[in-house]
Amino acid sequence: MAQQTKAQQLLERLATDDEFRARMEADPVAAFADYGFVIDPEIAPGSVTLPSKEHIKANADLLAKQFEASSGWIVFCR
Amino acid sequence: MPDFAALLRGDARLDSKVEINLLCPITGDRISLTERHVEFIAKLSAQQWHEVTCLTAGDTLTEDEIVGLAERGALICDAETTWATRLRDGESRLTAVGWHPQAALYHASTQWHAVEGDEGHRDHDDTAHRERLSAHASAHGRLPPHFHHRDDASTRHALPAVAFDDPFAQVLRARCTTRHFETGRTLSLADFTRVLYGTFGVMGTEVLAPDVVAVKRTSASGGALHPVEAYPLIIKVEGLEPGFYHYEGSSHSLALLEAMTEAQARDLATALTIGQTYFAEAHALVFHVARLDRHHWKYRRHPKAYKAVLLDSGHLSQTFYLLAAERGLGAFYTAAINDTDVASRLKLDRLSEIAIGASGLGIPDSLRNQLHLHPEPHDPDPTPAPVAR
Repeated sequence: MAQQTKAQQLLERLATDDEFRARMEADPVAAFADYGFVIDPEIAPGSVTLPSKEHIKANADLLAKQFEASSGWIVFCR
Repeated sequence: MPDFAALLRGDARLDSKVEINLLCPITGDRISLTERHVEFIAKLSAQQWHEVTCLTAGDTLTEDEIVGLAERGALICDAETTWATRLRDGESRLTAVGWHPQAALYHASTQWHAVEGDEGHRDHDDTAHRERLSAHASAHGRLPPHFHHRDDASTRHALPAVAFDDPFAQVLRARCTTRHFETGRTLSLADFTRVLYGTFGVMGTEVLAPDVVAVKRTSASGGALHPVEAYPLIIKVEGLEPGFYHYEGSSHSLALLEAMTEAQARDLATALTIGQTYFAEAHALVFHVARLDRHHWKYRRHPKAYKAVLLDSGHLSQTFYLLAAERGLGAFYTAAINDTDVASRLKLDRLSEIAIGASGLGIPDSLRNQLHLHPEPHDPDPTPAPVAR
């Protein structure tokens, strides 16, 4: 659940933040670590090619539909 | 989850591989299994013990693999280790309490620990809220209409108008959720006690059979068992030290479980309501904790028992709301709580005592009005929808 939230936040940032996208391409291990994810440390810096922001945004939206509702809407009564 | 490896190669897609997971009703853990594991487990009996050495013959799992499954919580075993004892005790406890198996599974796998939403720091003005709803509608389609009509009705009868304005009706109409409170003021003990007693106080008892005592509160309860206990988190109430208490209905008193400062109580309220900072402005929260051992004593392995317990909390919530409205106080109820953390803080037996939600009470801050409903009055349409022909 918390991982889903982190993944969503990561994708949304990759879909909007050019600076973070550049960091992801330069040092993906550290960028993923910011969100608590551990990836293959052998990935060579500079070998990363990210999808377009639009493509990632669409993927983030798809992921959001699969989420458990731990974020977005809070269950409270009115 | 996203496929991170693909992402770094320029492709954005979800990681959609098929997995087999066992959901543990004791721990709530999701335990990954292989097809070999499933094939092995399917041959085991739930009622009798098997010698591991007898299970390793032929084309099956090795002893190490079987022990590995037990260590991960997929199998009950008789080892005298902490993890094995925990599972054995948990299984016995589930049976003794009378949990319905599917309810236990649902409950264990939907518990929250240290969840923190963004409610406390997101923009709550009407425009921001409208934009979030519009984005939601774009993603998930239109909300079904607020008024529902059956197309297959054979006739419709207009009912006489109701003059719903007597004092009781006015209290019902005044019920609302408040999320802004005057943190600088102290809630009077009389106001707090009135709402607490009116909701959780014991109006009477009745011996139904030897050692079987029903309790009468102002709200309905399945079997008159009233399994829901009140645990007030006092923040700023006249004459009461801030802290976590248990309300004892037998003597109408509060038993202090943990004292703390007002600031600590507000921080705890925020953490237990997953970061809903506005609820920490309240003068007191009251956590609803059900004693399932009492409730399921009667409704053992009952398919509707878990639902009935949740309904009890709903009944109590509505009564709490009405008592607050009658006094001009603000109230709320939230099911968005870190229930696992409530259990830890209150030292509850998590297989027999479950935190369901939290009511809140306080002096409303009339100068702030975000996050509140402002409904237009509704007069029934005198023209009913047409009937089917």
